[in-house]
Amino acid sequence: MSGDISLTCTTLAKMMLHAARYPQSAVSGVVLAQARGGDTTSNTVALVDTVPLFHLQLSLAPMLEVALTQIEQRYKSEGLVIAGYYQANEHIKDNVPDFVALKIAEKIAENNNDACLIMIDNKKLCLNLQSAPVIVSQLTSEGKWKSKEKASVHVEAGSLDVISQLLQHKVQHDLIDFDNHLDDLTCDWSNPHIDKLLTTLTAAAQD
Amino acid sequence: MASLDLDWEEVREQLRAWREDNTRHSEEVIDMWEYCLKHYKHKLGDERWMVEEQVVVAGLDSYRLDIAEHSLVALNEQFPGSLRVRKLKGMRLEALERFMSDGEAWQELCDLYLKEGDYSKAAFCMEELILTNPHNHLYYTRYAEIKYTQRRDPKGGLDNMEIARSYFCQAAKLNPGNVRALYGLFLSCTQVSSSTKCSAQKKKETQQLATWALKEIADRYSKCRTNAMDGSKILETFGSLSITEKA
Repeated sequence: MSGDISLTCTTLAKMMLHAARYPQSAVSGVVLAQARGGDTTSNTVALVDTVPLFHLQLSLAPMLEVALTQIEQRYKSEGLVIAGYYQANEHIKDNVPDFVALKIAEKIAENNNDACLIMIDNKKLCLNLQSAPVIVSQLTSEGKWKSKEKASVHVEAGSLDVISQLLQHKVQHDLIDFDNHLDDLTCDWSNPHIDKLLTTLTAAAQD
Repeated sequence: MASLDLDWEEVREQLRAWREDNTRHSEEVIDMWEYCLKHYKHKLGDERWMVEEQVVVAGLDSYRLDIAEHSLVALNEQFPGSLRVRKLKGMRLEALERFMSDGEAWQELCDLYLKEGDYSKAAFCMEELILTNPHNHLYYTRYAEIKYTQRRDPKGGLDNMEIARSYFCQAAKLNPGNVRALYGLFLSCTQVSSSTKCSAQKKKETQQLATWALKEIADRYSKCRTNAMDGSKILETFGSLSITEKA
Protein backbone atom coordinates (compact mmCIF):
# COMPACT_ATOMS: atom_id res chain seq x y z
CA MET A 1 0.00 0.00 0.00
CA SER A 2 1.53 3.27 -1.00
CA GLY A 3 -0.87 5.72 0.55
CA ASP A 4 -0.31 8.23 3.32
CA ILE A 5 -1.22 7.74 6.95
CA SER A 6 -2.88 10.38 9.07
CA LEU A 7 -3.30 10.32 12.83
CA THR A 8 -5.73 12.42 14.80
CA CYS A 9 -4.58 14.08 18.00
CA THR A 10 -6.59 11.53 19.99
CA THR A 11 -4.92 8.60 18.30
CA LEU A 12 -1.41 9.83 18.95
CA ALA A 13 -2.20 11.18 22.41
CA LYS A 14 -3.51 7.95 23.84
CA MET A 15 -0.49 6.05 22.51
CA MET A 16 1.93 8.50 24.08
CA LEU A 17 0.07 8.56 27.38
CA HIS A 18 0.11 4.78 27.48
CA ALA A 19 3.86 4.61 26.91
CA ALA A 20 4.45 7.40 29.43
CA ARG A 21 2.36 5.72 32.08
CA TYR A 22 4.50 2.60 32.10
CA PRO A 23 8.02 3.76 31.37
CA GLN A 24 9.53 0.56 32.70
CA SER A 25 7.42 -1.83 30.63
CA ALA A 26 6.58 -2.60 27.05
CA VAL A 27 3.05 -1.51 26.13
CA SER A 28 0.75 -2.37 23.26
CA GLY A 29 -2.57 -1.41 21.79
CA VAL A 30 -4.62 -1.07 18.63
CA VAL A 31 -5.62 1.84 16.44
CA LEU A 32 -8.98 2.36 14.77
CA ALA A 33 -10.08 3.74 11.42
CA GLN A 34 -13.35 4.21 9.57
CA ALA A 35 -14.38 1.07 7.75
CA ARG A 36 -13.59 1.34 4.05
CA GLY A 37 -17.04 1.44 2.55
CA GLY A 38 -15.86 1.13 -1.01
CA ASP A 39 -14.52 4.69 -0.95
CA THR A 40 -11.55 4.40 -3.28
CA THR A 41 -11.07 8.13 -3.80
CA SER A 42 -8.76 8.57 -0.85
CA ASN A 43 -5.52 6.66 -0.57
CA THR A 44 -4.89 7.95 2.92
CA VAL A 45 -5.48 5.73 5.89
CA ALA A 46 -7.00 7.93 8.57
CA LEU A 47 -6.44 6.60 12.08
CA VAL A 48 -9.00 8.16 14.37
CA ASP A 49 -8.67 6.55 17.77
CA THR A 50 -6.53 4.29 19.91
CA VAL A 51 -7.37 1.58 22.43
CA PRO A 52 -4.49 0.85 24.79
CA LEU A 53 -4.30 -2.84 25.56
CA PHE A 54 -1.53 -4.22 27.73
CA HIS A 55 1.43 -3.40 29.87
CA LEU A 56 1.86 -6.68 31.75
CA GLN A 57 2.54 -9.41 29.21
CA LEU A 58 2.11 -8.61 25.56
CA SER A 59 2.60 -12.07 24.12
CA LEU A 60 -0.27 -14.07 25.61
CA ALA A 61 -3.24 -14.97 23.45
CA PRO A 62 -6.38 -15.31 25.59
CA MET A 63 -6.79 -11.74 26.85
CA LEU A 64 -5.80 -10.41 23.46
CA GLU A 65 -8.68 -12.35 21.92
CA VAL A 66 -11.07 -11.01 24.56
CA ALA A 67 -9.89 -7.46 23.94
CA LEU A 68 -10.13 -7.60 20.15
CA THR A 69 -13.59 -9.16 20.34
CA GLN A 70 -14.86 -6.47 22.72
CA ILE A 71 -13.30 -3.67 20.70
CA GLU A 72 -14.77 -4.87 17.41
CA GLN A 73 -18.18 -5.16 19.00
CA ARG A 74 -18.05 -1.78 20.71
CA TYR A 75 -17.08 0.23 17.66
CA LYS A 76 -19.08 -1.64 15.03
CA SER A 77 -22.04 0.70 15.42
CA GLU A 78 -19.77 3.72 14.85
CA GLY A 79 -18.41 2.22 11.67
CA LEU A 80 -14.92 1.86 13.10
CA VAL A 81 -12.63 -1.11 12.59
CA ILE A 82 -9.29 -2.17 14.03
CA ALA A 83 -6.77 -0.77 11.58
CA GLY A 84 -3.43 -1.39 13.22
CA TYR A 85 -1.31 -2.29 16.20
CA TYR A 86 1.18 -0.23 18.18
CA GLN A 87 3.87 -1.23 20.59
CA ALA A 88 6.46 0.53 22.69
CA ASN A 89 9.34 -1.77 23.61
CA GLU A 90 10.77 -1.97 27.10
CA HIS A 91 14.17 -0.52 26.30
CA ILE A 92 14.55 3.08 25.28
CA LYS A 93 16.72 2.44 22.25
CA ASP A 94 14.73 -0.51 21.00
CA ASN A 95 12.17 0.41 18.39
CA VAL A 96 12.32 -2.77 16.33
CA PRO A 97 9.12 -4.82 16.12
CA ASP A 98 9.55 -8.17 17.88
CA PHE A 99 7.78 -11.41 17.04
CA VAL A 100 4.73 -10.38 19.10
CA ALA A 101 4.27 -7.14 17.20
CA LEU A 102 4.71 -8.87 13.86
CA LYS A 103 2.32 -11.70 14.72
CA ILE A 104 -0.47 -9.44 15.91
CA ALA A 105 -0.05 -6.91 13.11
CA GLU A 106 -0.21 -9.73 10.56
CA LYS A 107 -3.38 -11.05 12.13
CA ILE A 108 -4.96 -7.60 11.82
CA ALA A 109 -3.70 -7.32 8.25
CA GLU A 110 -5.56 -10.52 7.34
CA ASN A 111 -8.79 -8.56 7.65
CA ASN A 112 -7.44 -5.22 6.51
CA ASN A 113 -4.89 -4.71 3.74
CA ASP A 114 -4.04 -1.21 4.91
CA ALA A 115 -3.21 -2.32 8.44
CA CYS A 116 -0.47 -0.31 10.14
CA LEU A 117 2.24 -1.49 12.46
CA ILE A 118 3.29 1.40 14.67
CA MET A 119 6.39 1.29 16.82
CA ILE A 120 6.81 4.07 19.34
CA ASP A 121 10.21 5.70 19.17
CA ASN A 122 10.92 5.83 22.90
CA LYS A 123 13.88 8.16 22.58
CA LYS A 124 11.69 10.85 21.06
CA LEU A 125 9.05 10.73 23.76
CA CYS A 126 9.51 13.79 25.95
CA LEU A 127 7.72 16.69 27.60
CA ASN A 128 8.14 18.97 24.58
CA LEU A 129 7.46 16.91 21.52
CA GLN A 130 9.24 18.17 18.43
CA SER A 131 8.03 15.42 16.14
CA ALA A 132 5.65 12.48 16.33
CA PRO A 133 7.61 9.71 18.05
CA VAL A 134 6.24 6.95 15.87
CA ILE A 135 7.51 4.68 13.12
CA VAL A 136 4.62 3.55 10.95
CA SER A 137 4.89 0.50 8.69
CA GLN A 138 2.58 -1.19 6.26
CA LEU A 139 2.74 -4.47 4.38
CA THR A 140 4.26 -4.48 0.94
CA SER A 141 2.88 -6.69 -1.80
CA GLU A 142 5.64 -9.17 -0.94
CA GLY A 143 4.30 -9.48 2.58
CA LYS A 144 7.08 -7.54 4.30
CA TRP A 145 6.58 -4.68 6.74
CA LYS A 146 8.06 -1.50 5.33
CA SER A 147 8.28 1.74 7.27
CA LYS A 148 6.73 4.80 5.72
CA GLU A 149 8.65 7.94 4.94
CA LYS A 150 8.26 10.64 7.58
CA ALA A 151 6.62 12.81 4.95
CA SER A 152 3.86 10.27 4.43
CA VAL A 153 2.80 10.27 8.08
CA HIS A 154 0.61 13.24 8.97
CA VAL A 155 -0.40 14.23 12.42
CA GLU A 156 -3.35 16.52 13.18
CA ALA A 157 -2.23 20.12 13.49
CA GLY A 158 -1.44 21.22 17.02
CA SER A 159 -1.25 17.65 18.32
CA LEU A 160 2.33 17.83 19.48
CA ASP A 161 1.63 20.88 21.65
CA VAL A 162 -1.52 19.41 23.12
CA ILE A 163 0.16 16.09 23.89
CA SER A 164 3.17 17.84 25.42
CA GLN A 165 0.77 19.67 27.72
CA LEU A 166 -0.85 16.41 28.72
CA LEU A 167 2.50 14.87 29.55
CA GLN A 168 3.58 17.94 31.49
CA HIS A 169 0.45 17.66 33.59
CA LYS A 170 0.97 13.93 34.11
CA VAL A 171 -2.36 13.03 32.52
CA GLN A 172 -0.93 9.60 31.73
CA HIS A 173 -1.91 8.47 35.22
CA ASP A 174 -5.55 8.72 34.18
CA LEU A 175 -5.13 6.58 31.09
CA ILE A 176 -6.83 3.21 31.21
CA ASP A 177 -5.77 0.14 29.27
CA PHE A 178 -7.28 -3.31 28.93
CA ASP A 179 -5.07 -4.75 31.67
CA ASN A 180 -6.51 -2.13 34.06
CA HIS A 181 -9.99 -3.08 32.93
CA LEU A 182 -9.41 -6.76 33.64
CA ASP A 183 -8.24 -5.88 37.14
CA ASP A 184 -11.22 -3.59 37.71
CA LEU A 185 -14.22 -3.83 35.41
CA THR A 186 -15.34 -0.30 36.21
CA CYS A 187 -12.30 1.05 34.32
CA ASP A 188 -13.34 2.07 30.80
CA TRP A 189 -10.68 1.27 28.18
CA SER A 190 -12.26 3.68 25.71
CA ASN A 191 -11.01 6.54 27.92
CA PRO A 192 -13.95 8.98 27.49
CA HIS A 193 -12.43 11.29 30.10
CA ILE A 194 -9.30 11.68 27.95
CA ASP A 195 -11.48 12.31 24.88
CA LYS A 196 -13.26 15.09 26.74
CA LEU A 197 -10.01 16.65 27.87
CA LEU A 198 -8.60 16.54 24.35
CA THR A 199 -11.69 18.19 22.90
CA THR A 200 -11.31 21.06 25.36
CA LEU A 201 -7.59 21.46 24.73
CA THR A 202 -7.81 21.31 20.94
CA ALA A 203 -10.66 23.83 20.96
CA ALA A 204 -8.62 26.15 23.15
CA ALA A 205 -5.63 25.77 20.85
CA GLN A 206 -7.71 26.82 17.89
CA ASP A 207 -8.94 30.02 19.57
CA MET B 1 8.90 -2.68 74.43
CA ALA B 2 12.28 -2.17 76.04
CA SER B 3 13.01 -5.72 77.07
CA LEU B 4 11.47 -9.12 76.92
CA ASP B 5 10.65 -10.81 80.13
CA LEU B 6 13.19 -13.55 79.50
CA ASP B 7 16.08 -14.88 81.40
CA TRP B 8 19.10 -13.85 79.38
CA GLU B 9 20.75 -17.17 80.06
CA GLU B 10 17.76 -19.01 78.61
CA VAL B 11 18.00 -16.88 75.52
CA ARG B 12 21.67 -17.64 75.25
CA GLU B 13 20.89 -21.37 75.47
CA GLN B 14 18.23 -21.07 72.80
CA LEU B 15 20.50 -19.27 70.35
CA ARG B 16 23.22 -21.81 71.01
CA ALA B 17 20.81 -24.66 70.32
CA TRP B 18 19.75 -23.09 67.05
CA ARG B 19 23.38 -22.60 66.03
CA GLU B 20 24.13 -26.22 66.75
CA ASP B 21 21.06 -27.35 64.83
CA ASN B 22 22.01 -25.05 62.02
CA THR B 23 18.50 -23.61 61.92
CA ARG B 24 17.91 -19.94 61.36
CA HIS B 25 14.75 -18.74 63.18
CA SER B 26 15.76 -15.34 61.97
CA GLU B 27 12.89 -13.24 63.24
CA GLU B 28 13.07 -14.78 66.68
CA VAL B 29 16.83 -14.31 66.87
CA ILE B 30 16.38 -10.63 66.06
CA ASP B 31 13.70 -10.17 68.69
CA MET B 32 15.64 -12.03 71.34
CA TRP B 33 18.77 -10.05 70.58
CA GLU B 34 17.12 -6.65 70.41
CA TYR B 35 14.95 -7.02 73.45
CA CYS B 36 17.15 -9.12 75.70
CA LEU B 37 20.54 -10.54 74.94
CA LYS B 38 21.98 -7.34 73.46
CA HIS B 39 21.93 -5.84 76.93
CA TYR B 40 23.96 -8.73 78.30
CA LYS B 41 26.46 -9.15 75.51
CA HIS B 42 29.38 -8.39 77.78
CA LYS B 43 28.45 -11.41 79.89
CA LEU B 44 28.71 -13.80 76.97
CA GLY B 45 32.47 -14.10 76.90
CA ASP B 46 33.86 -15.65 73.73
CA GLU B 47 30.44 -16.89 72.77
CA ARG B 48 29.49 -13.28 72.08
CA TRP B 49 31.10 -13.34 68.63
CA MET B 50 29.21 -16.39 67.49
CA VAL B 51 26.03 -14.75 68.64
CA GLU B 52 26.90 -11.52 66.81
CA GLU B 53 27.51 -13.56 63.68
CA GLN B 54 24.17 -15.27 64.13
CA VAL B 55 22.53 -11.87 64.51
CA VAL B 56 24.11 -10.58 61.28
CA VAL B 57 22.70 -13.51 59.33
CA ALA B 58 19.30 -13.19 61.01
CA GLY B 59 19.27 -9.46 60.32
CA LEU B 60 20.01 -9.93 56.63
CA ASP B 61 17.33 -12.61 56.40
CA SER B 62 14.60 -10.49 57.92
CA TYR B 63 15.80 -7.30 56.23
CA ARG B 64 16.71 -5.67 59.54
CA LEU B 65 19.83 -4.22 57.96
CA ASP B 66 20.26 -1.75 60.82
CA ILE B 67 20.70 -4.54 63.33
CA ALA B 68 22.89 -6.60 61.05
CA GLU B 69 25.09 -3.55 60.50
CA HIS B 70 25.78 -3.01 64.21
CA SER B 71 26.85 -6.58 64.75
CA LEU B 72 28.93 -6.55 61.60
CA VAL B 73 30.81 -3.47 62.78
CA ALA B 74 31.47 -5.07 66.15
CA LEU B 75 32.78 -8.24 64.49
CA ASN B 76 34.95 -6.26 62.15
CA GLU B 77 36.56 -4.41 65.02
CA GLN B 78 37.18 -7.60 66.93
CA PHE B 79 38.47 -9.61 63.97
CA PRO B 80 39.96 -7.21 61.44
CA GLY B 81 40.69 -8.82 58.07
CA SER B 82 38.95 -12.04 59.01
CA LEU B 83 37.75 -14.18 56.12
CA ARG B 84 34.68 -15.21 58.08
CA VAL B 85 33.75 -11.56 58.59
CA ARG B 86 34.35 -10.88 54.91
CA LYS B 87 31.89 -13.62 54.09
CA LEU B 88 29.29 -11.83 56.19
CA LYS B 89 30.05 -8.56 54.40
CA GLY B 90 29.45 -10.38 51.15
CA MET B 91 26.07 -11.54 52.37
CA ARG B 92 25.23 -7.98 53.30
CA LEU B 93 26.03 -6.80 49.79
CA GLU B 94 23.71 -9.44 48.40
CA ALA B 95 20.94 -8.21 50.65
CA LEU B 96 21.50 -4.62 49.59
CA GLU B 97 21.20 -5.53 45.94
CA ARG B 98 17.65 -6.41 44.89
CA PHE B 99 17.57 -9.58 46.90
CA MET B 100 15.50 -12.00 44.92
CA SER B 101 13.72 -14.76 46.60
CA ASP B 102 13.44 -17.77 44.35
CA GLY B 103 9.87 -16.83 43.48
CA GLU B 104 10.87 -13.50 42.02
CA ALA B 105 13.65 -15.13 40.04
CA TRP B 106 11.31 -17.66 38.46
CA GLN B 107 8.84 -14.90 37.58
CA GLU B 108 11.52 -12.78 36.01
CA LEU B 109 12.80 -15.79 34.06
CA CYS B 110 9.28 -16.58 32.90
CA ASP B 111 8.87 -13.00 31.64
CA LEU B 112 12.15 -13.22 29.76
CA TYR B 113 11.21 -16.50 28.10
CA LEU B 114 7.85 -15.04 27.07
CA LYS B 115 9.62 -12.07 25.49
CA GLU B 116 11.67 -14.56 23.49
CA GLY B 117 8.59 -16.53 22.53
CA ASP B 118 9.85 -19.64 24.30
CA TYR B 119 6.49 -20.66 25.68
CA SER B 120 7.46 -24.13 26.85
CA LYS B 121 10.32 -22.83 28.98
CA ALA B 122 8.08 -20.06 30.31
CA ALA B 123 5.52 -22.71 31.26
CA PHE B 124 8.20 -24.62 33.12
CA CYS B 125 8.98 -21.55 35.22
CA MET B 126 5.32 -21.17 36.13
CA GLU B 127 5.21 -24.85 37.06
CA GLU B 128 8.00 -24.22 39.57
CA LEU B 129 6.11 -21.30 41.01
CA ILE B 130 2.88 -23.25 41.33
CA LEU B 131 4.71 -26.06 43.11
CA THR B 132 5.90 -23.69 45.81
CA ASN B 133 2.72 -21.60 45.88
CA PRO B 134 -0.20 -23.92 45.21
CA HIS B 135 -2.78 -21.36 46.34
CA ASN B 136 -1.77 -18.42 44.22
CA HIS B 137 -4.52 -17.90 41.66
CA LEU B 138 -2.36 -15.51 39.66
CA TYR B 139 0.20 -18.21 38.94
CA TYR B 140 -2.49 -20.60 37.76
CA THR B 141 -3.90 -17.89 35.50
CA ARG B 142 -0.55 -17.05 33.98
CA TYR B 143 0.25 -20.73 33.41
CA ALA B 144 -3.11 -21.28 31.75
CA GLU B 145 -2.57 -18.26 29.49
CA ILE B 146 0.77 -19.68 28.39
CA LYS B 147 -0.74 -23.09 27.70
CA TYR B 148 -3.57 -21.49 25.73
CA THR B 149 -1.06 -19.53 23.66
CA GLN B 150 0.88 -22.76 23.02
CA ARG B 151 -2.11 -24.42 21.41
CA ARG B 152 -0.69 -23.88 17.98
CA ASP B 153 2.19 -26.16 18.88
CA PRO B 154 1.81 -29.04 16.40
CA LYS B 155 2.70 -31.56 19.06
CA GLY B 156 0.33 -30.40 21.70
CA GLY B 157 -2.79 -28.85 20.21
CA LEU B 158 -5.75 -30.13 22.18
CA ASP B 159 -3.74 -31.19 25.23
CA ASN B 160 -2.43 -27.70 25.85
CA MET B 161 -5.92 -26.29 25.55
CA GLU B 162 -7.30 -28.83 28.00
CA ILE B 163 -4.52 -28.04 30.45
CA ALA B 164 -5.32 -24.35 30.00
CA ARG B 165 -8.94 -25.06 30.77
CA SER B 166 -8.09 -26.96 33.99
CA TYR B 167 -5.80 -24.26 35.23
CA PHE B 168 -8.19 -21.42 34.43
CA CYS B 169 -10.78 -23.44 36.31
CA GLN B 170 -8.54 -23.82 39.34
CA ALA B 171 -7.68 -20.12 39.31
CA ALA B 172 -11.37 -19.20 39.22
CA LYS B 173 -11.99 -21.61 42.09
CA LEU B 174 -9.23 -20.05 44.17
CA ASN B 175 -10.47 -16.56 43.40
CA PRO B 176 -13.96 -16.23 41.94
CA GLY B 177 -13.27 -12.53 41.35
CA ASN B 178 -10.47 -13.25 38.89
CA VAL B 179 -11.94 -11.98 35.64
CA ARG B 180 -8.98 -13.14 33.55
CA ALA B 181 -9.52 -16.68 34.81
CA LEU B 182 -13.22 -16.56 33.95
CA TYR B 183 -12.59 -15.21 30.48
CA GLY B 184 -9.83 -17.77 29.99
CA LEU B 185 -12.11 -20.54 31.16
CA PHE B 186 -14.79 -19.46 28.70
CA LEU B 187 -12.35 -19.25 25.79
CA SER B 188 -10.58 -22.51 26.51
CA CYS B 189 -13.85 -24.40 26.97
CA THR B 190 -15.06 -23.01 23.67
CA GLN B 191 -11.88 -24.11 21.96
CA VAL B 192 -11.96 -27.60 23.50
CA SER B 193 -15.59 -28.24 22.73
CA SER B 194 -15.23 -27.17 19.11
CA SER B 195 -12.30 -29.50 18.52
CA THR B 196 -13.01 -32.52 16.34
CA LYS B 197 -11.10 -34.70 18.77
CA CYS B 198 -13.59 -33.96 21.52
CA SER B 199 -16.09 -36.71 22.43
CA ALA B 200 -19.80 -35.91 22.53
CA GLN B 201 -19.97 -36.30 26.29
CA LYS B 202 -17.00 -34.07 26.93
CA LYS B 203 -18.35 -31.54 24.42
CA LYS B 204 -21.58 -31.23 26.37
CA GLU B 205 -19.81 -30.83 29.73
CA THR B 206 -17.35 -28.33 28.37
CA GLN B 207 -20.05 -26.25 26.74
CA GLN B 208 -21.93 -26.13 30.02
CA LEU B 209 -18.80 -24.91 31.76
CA ALA B 210 -18.33 -22.27 29.05
CA THR B 211 -21.89 -21.07 29.53
CA TRP B 212 -21.41 -20.89 33.28
CA ALA B 213 -18.18 -18.91 32.93
CA LEU B 214 -19.75 -16.42 30.53
CA LYS B 215 -22.70 -15.92 32.85
CA GLU B 216 -20.33 -15.24 35.75
CA ILE B 217 -18.54 -12.62 33.68
CA ALA B 218 -21.82 -11.01 32.58
CA ASP B 219 -22.97 -10.88 36.21
CA ARG B 220 -19.81 -9.10 37.24
CA TYR B 221 -20.24 -6.51 34.51
CA SER B 222 -23.84 -5.97 35.52
CA LYS B 223 -22.78 -5.46 39.13
CA CYS B 224 -20.39 -2.75 38.02
CA ARG B 225 -23.15 -0.77 36.39
CA THR B 226 -20.90 1.00 33.91
CA ASN B 227 -22.24 2.50 30.71
CA ALA B 228 -19.47 1.05 28.67
CA MET B 229 -20.16 -2.63 28.70
CA ASP B 230 -22.97 -4.29 30.61
CA GLY B 231 -23.81 -7.89 31.25
CA SER B 232 -26.16 -8.35 28.34
CA LYS B 233 -23.65 -6.88 25.89
CA ILE B 234 -21.08 -9.38 27.14
CA LEU B 235 -23.45 -12.28 26.53
CA GLU B 236 -24.20 -10.91 23.09
CA THR B 237 -20.56 -10.33 22.16
CA PHE B 238 -19.12 -13.58 23.37
CA GLY B 239 -22.17 -15.80 23.18
CA SER B 240 -21.74 -16.09 19.44
CA LEU B 241 -18.23 -17.42 19.92
CA SER B 242 -19.60 -20.58 21.51
CA ILE B 243 -21.24 -21.76 18.37
CA THR B 244 -18.77 -20.60 15.78
CA GLU B 245 -15.25 -21.93 15.65
CA LYS B 246 -12.66 -19.21 16.13
CA ALA B 247 -9.66 -19.72 13.87
